[in-house]
Amino acid sequence: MIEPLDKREFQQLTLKRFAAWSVLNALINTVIAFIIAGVGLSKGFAVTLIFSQCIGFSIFFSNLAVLPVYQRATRLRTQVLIVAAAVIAGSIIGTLLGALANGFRPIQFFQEHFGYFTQVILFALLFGFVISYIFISLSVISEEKIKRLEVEKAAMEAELRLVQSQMEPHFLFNTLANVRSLIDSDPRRAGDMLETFVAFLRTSLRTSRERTVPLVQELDVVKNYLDLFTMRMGSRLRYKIELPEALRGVRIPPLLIQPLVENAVKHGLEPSIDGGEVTIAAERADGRIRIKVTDSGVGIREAAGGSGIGLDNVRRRLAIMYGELGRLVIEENSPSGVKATIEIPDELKGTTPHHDPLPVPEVGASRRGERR
Amino acid sequence: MKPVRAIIADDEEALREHLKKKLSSLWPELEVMGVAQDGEAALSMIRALKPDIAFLDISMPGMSGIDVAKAAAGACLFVFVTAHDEFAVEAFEREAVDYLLKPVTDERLTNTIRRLKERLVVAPVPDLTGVLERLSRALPKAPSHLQWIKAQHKDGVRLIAANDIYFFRATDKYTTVRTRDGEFLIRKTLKGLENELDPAQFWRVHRAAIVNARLIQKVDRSLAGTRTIRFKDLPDNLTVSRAYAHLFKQM
Repeated sequence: MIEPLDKREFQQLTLKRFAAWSVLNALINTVIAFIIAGVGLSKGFAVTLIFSQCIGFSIFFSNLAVLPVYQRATRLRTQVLIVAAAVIAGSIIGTLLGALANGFRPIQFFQEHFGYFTQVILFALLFGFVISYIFISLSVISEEKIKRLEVEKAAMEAELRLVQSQMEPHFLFNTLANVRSLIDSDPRRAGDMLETFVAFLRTSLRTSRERTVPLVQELDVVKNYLDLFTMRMGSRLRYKIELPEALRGVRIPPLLIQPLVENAVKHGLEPSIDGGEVTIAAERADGRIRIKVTDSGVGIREAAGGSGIGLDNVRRRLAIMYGELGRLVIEENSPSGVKATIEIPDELKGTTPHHDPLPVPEVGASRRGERR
Repeated sequence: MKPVRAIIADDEEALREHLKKKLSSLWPELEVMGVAQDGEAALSMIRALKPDIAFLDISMPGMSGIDVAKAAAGACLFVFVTAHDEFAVEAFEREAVDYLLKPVTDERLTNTIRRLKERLVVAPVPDLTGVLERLSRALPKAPSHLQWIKAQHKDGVRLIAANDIYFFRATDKYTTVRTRDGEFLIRKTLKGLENELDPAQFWRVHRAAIVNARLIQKVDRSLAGTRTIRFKDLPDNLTVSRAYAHLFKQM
């Protein structure tokens, strides 16, 4: 009856599918007629069947009619309201049509058989809502499933991207060439460099396999990466990581910050003759966690490359995990370079950020506390 | 015979020193006159010291090794040093230049030294214009289309990736840029943007609007024939004017 609730399915409404739904609808209507006749609340099976078919198809077509609006609605509550309106409208129209088809004159039917009329309407609403509810639940489940799959896909892409950047020939061969060249001249430094490289590979791989990681672990990956580049670039690269004690345990999706640092080094500092500094700083403010990656490198030219798969992936994962509350903002840094800021909700102040955004009462309570 | 003289340019110190050391053990008569840390320094060194050979790392900050060789064409022999062979380096072998892959091995360097010695006898220095042109084409190119939009926002400059922009709309003196994060004003005109943006991705759909085709969810068509563009995760719509309706005819 209300099968078209699944949006994606419906986007390709074919004649075949329409026919299948109509048949399913007719079957459900017949079953309902049997149930009503079975419990003995009818004026004969034929009358009930006609009513049931009229109402069922009215609700079916009402739902088809509101579908474009339904598809545009983004919130579940709006969607439920739209369907409820369609079910009510469909029930009323269907009852009137049924009355006509059974040979009653609608107004007369309404006046003379008021009790029966109410009964029919009530049954129409009851079955309309029950079946709508079933289909909505199914569609909600499938949407949750889609969301879960999206999360998994984005995480897998991040892992793949990591492996690609680790195995990126320039990075790999340059690092190994450095180690090789140090083996004779400075075996100690060669050893240090190899250890840092191994530490980077190990921490980043381990990190990429988790769903969320504490900030301190993600910044460990970043630190190893920067250590490696400091050995290669010498005094041209300086870095600073500012992670307040209280934020060490904040959980974030893995490899969210690493791509930003990689961009800062590759596109900001490596191309710069004088090099520069990368700063990674985390802070908690206004119920949000902000992580800033700032470099003093060459900056971004408008036609420059590397608007990057890396950034796209970061942005998409923020959107999937935190909805509107997760943001990535890229700005020019003054006097030079780029500042990338990740903003996520502070998990300490709410459990499921996506559905329950801001626990305002708590904030209010603590403010009142301060004033006292 | 006067001593053969060379310079080395690489932005990574360990690699510079390594090559220098290897050269001194495999070619003791070679005099390394200086080492440079970036392309510009290498170029001025070549011009000032007039070496016979320049060993140039390809990816260096500022100027690439290829840029340096182009600018100093004919001044000396060039040997390119690179971490991997993404630059279609086999081209070097056919032409009168040589290349080394990092980490540089004794065997490979010995070969290169032999070839360099042969070439130093056969003057003059070969013309490399053709091969250098081909090499620059092989180097990763900066895309020619606009990838980032700079927009004044509060007291800073926001950098907006073109991929994140849903559409541009002309408003009075400014152009509005619509992203998931909101709207930004820029001074560029739609006409200017149309010329600079990637035409495969950004379509003019109205006198006053350019849309990012990748973010279109669907295009609805009313009974009157008006087409309306709808986006993923965005409530805004755009109307397609008749002059541009052909873009969506097959959709």
